[in-house]
Amino acid sequence: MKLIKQHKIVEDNWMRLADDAPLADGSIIVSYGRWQQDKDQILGRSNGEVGIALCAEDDVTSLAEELDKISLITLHFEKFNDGRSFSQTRWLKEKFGFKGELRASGAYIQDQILPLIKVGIDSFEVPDEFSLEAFQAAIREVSVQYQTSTIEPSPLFRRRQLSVN
Amino acid sequence: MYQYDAFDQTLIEERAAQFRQQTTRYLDGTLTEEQYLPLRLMNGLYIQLHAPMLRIAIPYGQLNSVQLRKLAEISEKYDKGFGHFTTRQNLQLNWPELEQVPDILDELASVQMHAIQTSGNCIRNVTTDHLAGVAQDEIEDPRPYCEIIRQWSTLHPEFAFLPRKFKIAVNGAEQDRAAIQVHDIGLQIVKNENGEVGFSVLVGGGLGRTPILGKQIRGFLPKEDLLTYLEAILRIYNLHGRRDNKYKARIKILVKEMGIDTFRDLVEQEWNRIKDSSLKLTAEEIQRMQSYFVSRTLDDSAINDEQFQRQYRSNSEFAIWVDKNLVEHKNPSYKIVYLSLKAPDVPPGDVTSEQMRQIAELADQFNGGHIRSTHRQDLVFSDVKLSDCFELWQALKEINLATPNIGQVTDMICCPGLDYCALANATSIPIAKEINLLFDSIDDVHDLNNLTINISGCMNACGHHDVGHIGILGVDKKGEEWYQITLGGSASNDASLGTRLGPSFHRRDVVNAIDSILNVYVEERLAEEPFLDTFRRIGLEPFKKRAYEVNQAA
Repeated sequence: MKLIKQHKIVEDNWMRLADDAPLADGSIIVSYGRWQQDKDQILGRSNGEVGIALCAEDDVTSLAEELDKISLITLHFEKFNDGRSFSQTRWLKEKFGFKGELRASGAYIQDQILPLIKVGIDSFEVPDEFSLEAFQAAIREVSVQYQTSTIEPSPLFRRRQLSVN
Repeated sequence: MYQYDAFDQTLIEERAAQFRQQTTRYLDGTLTEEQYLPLRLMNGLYIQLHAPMLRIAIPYGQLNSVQLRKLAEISEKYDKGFGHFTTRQNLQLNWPELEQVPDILDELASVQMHAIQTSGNCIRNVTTDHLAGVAQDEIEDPRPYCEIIRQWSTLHPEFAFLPRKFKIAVNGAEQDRAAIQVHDIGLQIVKNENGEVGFSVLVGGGLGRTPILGKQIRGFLPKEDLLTYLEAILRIYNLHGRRDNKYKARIKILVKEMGIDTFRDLVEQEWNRIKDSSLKLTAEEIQRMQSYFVSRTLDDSAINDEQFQRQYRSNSEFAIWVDKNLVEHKNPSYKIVYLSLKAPDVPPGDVTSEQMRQIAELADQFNGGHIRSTHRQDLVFSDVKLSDCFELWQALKEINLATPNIGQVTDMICCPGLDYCALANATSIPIAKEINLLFDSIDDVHDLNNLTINISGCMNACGHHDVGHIGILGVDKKGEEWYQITLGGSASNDASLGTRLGPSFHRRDVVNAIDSILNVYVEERLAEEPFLDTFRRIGLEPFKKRAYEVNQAA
């Protein structure tokens, strides 16, 4: 597994903590369920940032009041065709104003990378054999976008008006 | 008609190239069957019983002659020389080769066409009234809003993997000719007390396994708020719609289980957050879209055209065609002409490549090069001069497109059924053909007075059986074809879902049962009473009694 962020392969400084593993210092990613259960202990550690692994099933709204304590959220795809993570990402970024890193993980496929970036994903966990070139090709496939997105916050109809005026 | 600019053209070319690349990855094994499935469906490609099926988008039923000629060429070059018009106003090819589909998409892109989102769990081709812009009872032309919705929904990054398919219809006239009550979202153009144009928004209607009529979520939505409101509904559905059972995944089940009031609260809360975002439509954008749909400059000289009146009086065959297949245009010098794709000897909705070419010729000659498809699987020429009607009729007769049966019993909606479709339980086309044989003459057909029969080969309801005055649904019983009959459905303003007659009929008995039902109607009706009124007056019993007396039921 490797990590692609801002169009580069970067080192992953986060440690994924299994639900039954003892709490550790440092930057750790815990499951949403573990977060719900052990919130106080997790926040009470002497050092290290907190990341949450959020599945499509998990209630994104319940994190709204806690986001200032969280530095990373992974949107985890158990099935690539479960589209809830797209709207969850959008809510985290736009509705709840999450300022930390939003990361895609799990079974999503390369054809979903560009739309994931558009809804607000910052970084991608990809299999080792997946090349940076394939990533860069995937995000160039479709250059036109009618809707609003984090790349282009203005819908095409407003940009068209500018290009005419 | 909307014309692509460089943005629109670039998008469909890039999408075609992307699909070519995805198909290559599938063929070389990089993409699994499971991964390729939603990607090909989002491009209208099914793997059917005999071959792949490609569903080509005809956005809200608008087509020009250049495009139709291209479709003729494609259906000849890559298929068996015909195409099938669907209830979403699209065109299906039943025999393309998977490897050639990327080439077909390139050819389509050359005439501003595509197959984007004609299938899959995403927002499908938006549909509308096929008389938009020319109907006498229109409040405002819905097509500019359809194009606005088409663009917003095309490759929407957030809504490509919804719980299930999502269908939107817009109606701009007083009469609902777009079946908006049986759509995931139905939009009815209305004017408020200040004369401002907006939408009454229905949500959670749909056919299929659990047919439900839509419920009103908002009585008046200002037109500028169209996209923000749609986006709010889709987001709530995407987050909350069921994904544990595909038969319970449509928005209608969410609305039903949650209750319309709770659902509305969630949508309005989200909408209040985004209603003043950059997605709010501008007056300039609405005007820009409207400018594409301004009526052609019509020549008024043909009002009460004497020649037309003479032809109508002297040629009874022409007169029947005028009475059945023509509709009043808002300009009295013109007529709206239906091209019937329901000749008795032809599968409903099918056209040959040769017919496509001839229709394109006639459209150039008589209708400014425009053609429309309807959700009842016929075609429309929207602006035919009175003085041209007779010549057009003669030409249409030559190519078997002048059967005077629009809205009549033989103008059946019919899915491809088990003859083509992998999902079907039973055949549909042969049933339609046999029903046609019940009538000795066109007079027998006309005697039944705007009675509609809709046939689906399975409960996915592509043939809209639940909203046919008479509905026929194919079911599978131990490998045999059986059919359930429903009565009293309607997709218009008085929308209702048909009531089941009783146990299903065997293949050999179903058309007899239909015959019995038609006989009961003819005996029981009062004067000119239409079927739906007779049914609502006398109820199911008399029909049921006769149908099961005559037939041996299961």
